[in-house]
Amino acid sequence: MSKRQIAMVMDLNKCIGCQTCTVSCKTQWTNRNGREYMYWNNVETKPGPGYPKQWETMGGGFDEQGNLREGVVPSRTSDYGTPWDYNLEDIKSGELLEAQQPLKVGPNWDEDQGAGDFPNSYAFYLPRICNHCSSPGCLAACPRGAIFKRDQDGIVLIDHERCEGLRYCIAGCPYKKVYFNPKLYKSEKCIFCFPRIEKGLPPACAQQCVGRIRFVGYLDDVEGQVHKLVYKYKVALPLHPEMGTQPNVYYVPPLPGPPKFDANGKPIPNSERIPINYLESLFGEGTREALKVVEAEKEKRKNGQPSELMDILIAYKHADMFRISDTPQQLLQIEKRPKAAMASPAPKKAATTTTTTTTTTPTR
Amino acid sequence: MSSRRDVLKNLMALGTTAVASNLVHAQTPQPLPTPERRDDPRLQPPKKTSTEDMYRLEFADTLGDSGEHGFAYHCVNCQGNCAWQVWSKDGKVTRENQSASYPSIADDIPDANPRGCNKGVQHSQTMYEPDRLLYPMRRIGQRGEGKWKRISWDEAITEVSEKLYETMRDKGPEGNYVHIGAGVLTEARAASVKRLGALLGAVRPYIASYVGDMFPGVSAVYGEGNIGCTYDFIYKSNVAVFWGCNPNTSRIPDAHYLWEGKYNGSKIIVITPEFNSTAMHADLWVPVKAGADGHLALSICKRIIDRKLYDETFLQTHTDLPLLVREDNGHLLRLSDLDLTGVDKKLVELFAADEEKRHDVFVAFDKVTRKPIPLPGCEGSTVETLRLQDIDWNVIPVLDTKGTVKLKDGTTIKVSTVFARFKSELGRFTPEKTKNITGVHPSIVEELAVDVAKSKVAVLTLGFSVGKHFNGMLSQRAISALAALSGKLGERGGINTENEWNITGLAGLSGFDGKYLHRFASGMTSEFVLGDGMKTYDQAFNDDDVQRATGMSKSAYQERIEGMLKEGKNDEGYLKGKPYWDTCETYLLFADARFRRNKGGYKDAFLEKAKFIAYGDIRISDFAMYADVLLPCTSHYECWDIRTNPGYHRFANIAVPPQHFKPVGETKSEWEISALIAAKIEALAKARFEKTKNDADIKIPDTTHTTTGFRSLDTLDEEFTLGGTIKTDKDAVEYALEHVDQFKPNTVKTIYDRGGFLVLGENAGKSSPLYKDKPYNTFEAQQHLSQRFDTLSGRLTFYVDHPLWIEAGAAVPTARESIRPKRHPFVLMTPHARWSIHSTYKTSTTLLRLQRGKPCVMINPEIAKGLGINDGDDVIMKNELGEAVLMAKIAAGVPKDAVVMEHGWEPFMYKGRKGHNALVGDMLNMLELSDGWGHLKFGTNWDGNQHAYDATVELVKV
Repeated sequence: MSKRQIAMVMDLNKCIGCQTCTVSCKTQWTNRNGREYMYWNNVETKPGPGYPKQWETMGGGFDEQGNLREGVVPSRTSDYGTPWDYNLEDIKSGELLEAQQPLKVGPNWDEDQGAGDFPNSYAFYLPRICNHCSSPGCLAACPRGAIFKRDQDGIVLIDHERCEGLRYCIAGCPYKKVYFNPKLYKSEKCIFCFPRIEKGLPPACAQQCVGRIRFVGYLDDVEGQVHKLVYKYKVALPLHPEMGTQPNVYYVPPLPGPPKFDANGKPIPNSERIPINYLESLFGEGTREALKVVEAEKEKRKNGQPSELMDILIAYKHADMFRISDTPQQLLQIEKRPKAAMASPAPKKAATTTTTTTTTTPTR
Repeated sequence: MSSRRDVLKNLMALGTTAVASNLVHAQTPQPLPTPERRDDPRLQPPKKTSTEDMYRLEFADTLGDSGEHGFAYHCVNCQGNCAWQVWSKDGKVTRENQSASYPSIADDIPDANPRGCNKGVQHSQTMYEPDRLLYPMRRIGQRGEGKWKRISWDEAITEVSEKLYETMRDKGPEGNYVHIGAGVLTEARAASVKRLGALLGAVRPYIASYVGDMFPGVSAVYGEGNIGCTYDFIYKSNVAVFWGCNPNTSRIPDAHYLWEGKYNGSKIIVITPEFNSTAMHADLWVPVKAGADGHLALSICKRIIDRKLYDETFLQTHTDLPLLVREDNGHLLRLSDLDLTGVDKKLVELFAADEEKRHDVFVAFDKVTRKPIPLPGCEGSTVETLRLQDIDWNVIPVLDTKGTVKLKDGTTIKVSTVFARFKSELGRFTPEKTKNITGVHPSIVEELAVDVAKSKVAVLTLGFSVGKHFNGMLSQRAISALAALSGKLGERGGINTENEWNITGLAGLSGFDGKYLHRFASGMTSEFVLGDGMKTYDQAFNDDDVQRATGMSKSAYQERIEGMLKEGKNDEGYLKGKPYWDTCETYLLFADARFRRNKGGYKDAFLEKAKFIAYGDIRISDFAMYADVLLPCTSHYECWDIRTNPGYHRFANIAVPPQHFKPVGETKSEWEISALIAAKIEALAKARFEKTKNDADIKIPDTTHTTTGFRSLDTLDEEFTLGGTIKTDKDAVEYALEHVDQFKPNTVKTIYDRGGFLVLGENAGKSSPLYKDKPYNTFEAQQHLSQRFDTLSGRLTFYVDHPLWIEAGAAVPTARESIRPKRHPFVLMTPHARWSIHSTYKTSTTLLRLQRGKPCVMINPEIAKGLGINDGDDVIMKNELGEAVLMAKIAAGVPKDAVVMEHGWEPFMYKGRKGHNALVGDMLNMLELSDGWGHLKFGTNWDGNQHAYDATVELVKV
């Protein structure tokens, strides 16, 4: 066990499916060197087969006795999809622009497809990164002992000196978030942007998330949003807890969505547009209770009563969503300011060192 | 971007034996290799640091030297305007990271960080892609054939300048068309081309109109189309309606305010035909039938009036509903019509002292005296306020009444209030009657009526889709009427399109203080004429279609439009129709990939008319393929620029390239190019004049668009550069910082140090103050201070007595069915995209990999099944105008009578180079074309739209 565990909470009610996270991760890590096909961060539309295609059926993780379950390594051509290239250089010569590989499957192939009969359709977005599990399937599966959890933050990494490209880790991960790099002949995966964190910058997918859905912090930081959402309010749940790996990425499940319609087009009150059973199949038994808590707190807020939970989920200050060091905002400011800026006084309020979430409760 | 070599280098530096391999993934299920047996390596702790250091070095490679970072935004037509930090290493941009340093305005309002989106976050990748234009090129083959010769900048500038000059001499300034399109929408950079066009007197079309992103129906009611709030205002609302829009997809940087607002107690309502990415999390989604928005809005109005959910005092004060309308001719009763003996003399003196202006003073019945009274605040009133009670007066106009008045000529006529007329019109729009057209259940109409009218703060955000139907202007107007009826202004909400800040002091950058004017053309009209729209109209629609939409036969309607076009030609017909010029033959265009946009047979018609096309852009587009000369431009990270509007937020962002940036190819900024062209034309003219001594060679006559009567070509350089002070994009930014009040006090350095942006001053608000600590919404001045609106009556306008509007039965807000043919089963809906800004970034490999990789169309599952279409199949989409091949994507949120696809695909992404827009026919809408009435006079507030939703299609599996 690591001394501390860093974790992420993603609020699916705020996810707009824009994939800014996916692309920011791509430009930070995976646009090169054999990683081109990898999406350490992806966003899939649920219900849907996801990425890699049908990953939920590919095994890995642990059974109830704690034994590793068998798993498979997804196929690059039919499960991940070969990243297609274009003849961009030929357009000037009058050619049509065409993908140079077959268009059969890709990382966001099922975007916005959803389920249900129109107008009772439903869908929501599910962003996924490596869960940096407390009991990683990949780590258990690796015959070379190449996978380790960092002591200081529990981030799961693959030691490239030991990794021999055997890919047991991929089969062992039930989330299929480990990838094989054919150029390096090593496995690679989301590293929770630890080099950014070390410089005071939150992970790219989280800091650059324009929906402001991602909280990052240590699970033992009792004043932090992550701790409160996971333990105090229990509204943030791991994805597929039954897979037995104890993920450290948590999700606030989506509320059921707008009312469905009856045959005459009349809205049906309290109808579950997104079936709760489906949500439970993703986020486990805590789902119903989590949704109840969110609804109840939302109602309180609507009636003018204070709600710490709503304050947290609203997230007044973007920089406050990340508690990755003792004075996260200060470090953040230092790193992302150009050097020239250091000399001149900051035009806005000095970065605060407050370690608690704002609890201001606006009255309406 | 760090190269593969960098990583290998890093690995080697760490003593790692990384081996590249050709091994590819095997097919599922794949037997894993059997590891050799050896001692359990887990007995030794892993060597962690080398792996960690590899990633640390890689990160350092992308971060580069933070002291050298640039700042930028992506100045395209998403209007998002987000501050980005541009990371670079060794002069090459590696990636971008949001600046994320906008200040919080108040502790209880979420801040604006980290604005950005999936497209902006990858500009660093596309700027180095091989479709980038790197060098000036001249066409040497047929147009579109793709045979080019690289030429020098001097050759390119000379050729373009010669053509512009020659055209000015032979055809006059109106032979040139100089324009910068939706690919560059900013204050500083786009001003360059506008400045050049104004200097040369060239034609420039109105951009919002030709892209179909105007709100003319809002202008009709409010006097201006771009009104509303900063998006943080939505956070504070009780009810937020998103009508015909999908902010989760097309307002990505601001969408968080919806969901934070929902947590804060706001009810989020989405009204769209398709179940989209915003609807999925809404509190109420209303599946209105495509194009039936006006019918739905009026049925809500009907409920509000029937149930008296309105605030009578508000309607009496702020709307034209109490105004009297003559029963004999349908015109508004004007004070000048009346026999004044029956009118309170004191009020006439107070409100209408100027006899000349009494035509524009309107009349109501007073509640106490029951006599006609003139009203304050009208266009012709001597008193500008809308206040009904003041020291000198106390009037109460009756809202719902009929009566008689005596006219000057002694006759007595019947009159009724606008309110009474509107109420009567609404009789056709009961929720029960409209259900067949809208598909919306009356109980939802009831719910919407209460939500909009009775909530404390309700915002009705109007999207662009509504105006993209043939009668969309009427729908926009009906929705605006609903907002007006709900009494919401200022801090109480109301209609929200695109707030626009008041930015003063920039006129000197794009214009010449009136000395020289460009020829400003209606966007929709000039494009319709340029593309022979009438031909497409003839093919696309039959008599039934036109009857249904206009009440006229196909030929009669065509004749009417042709007559109006004739009268409005050039701008001599000002007030009769919309200005346009069919005289252009030389085109200098920037950032306007128009062939991805234009409908029907536009492309062929345009190419026939354009004798010379020079085109500047950052990348090749389908339009660029047909240019005669290509001018490579700097992209967003390579130039200096500043941008404010529109006002989704209160910040102006700056573009500053990274230090030591290595230029991409031989690109130049639009400022440099325009300045070079101005100087070159001057040189050419002087040289010619030397030989001919003919005044006309150096002074081009232009009596209509100059104050001097001619355009002096011997001072072009001096005038363009303001005496040599503005030659580059950087000069333009410095000029803006110096001259714009709302930017003060700021310098490039203060903006840079702050994180690439400045905060606008309080005076940036047009009709409300921009409070330091409160979200902004328009019309506080009208709400609290009873200032008049910019309308003919000074009031929110329900009644337009333009003769054409009366004739069309549209004097009060009404709704009409669409012109789209019913012969084909599916409405073609092409909303704004998640993956591109129109066509900008449509060819990005990074982004295409996150889509289906080519144009695709979303089809309802049941429909697809019936047609034997599977997901991923190629389908032919077709109608009378042609066909296009697309990939089928089966999606549960698509209605059964429509297909939905992102717009913006370039024709060269389709088989046969024919895009989906070739299937769309359109026709000018007579009411949008009408002009010359009150506040409905051609300009940025009153033009019409090209309509993209006028097509229906069939689908066939390939």
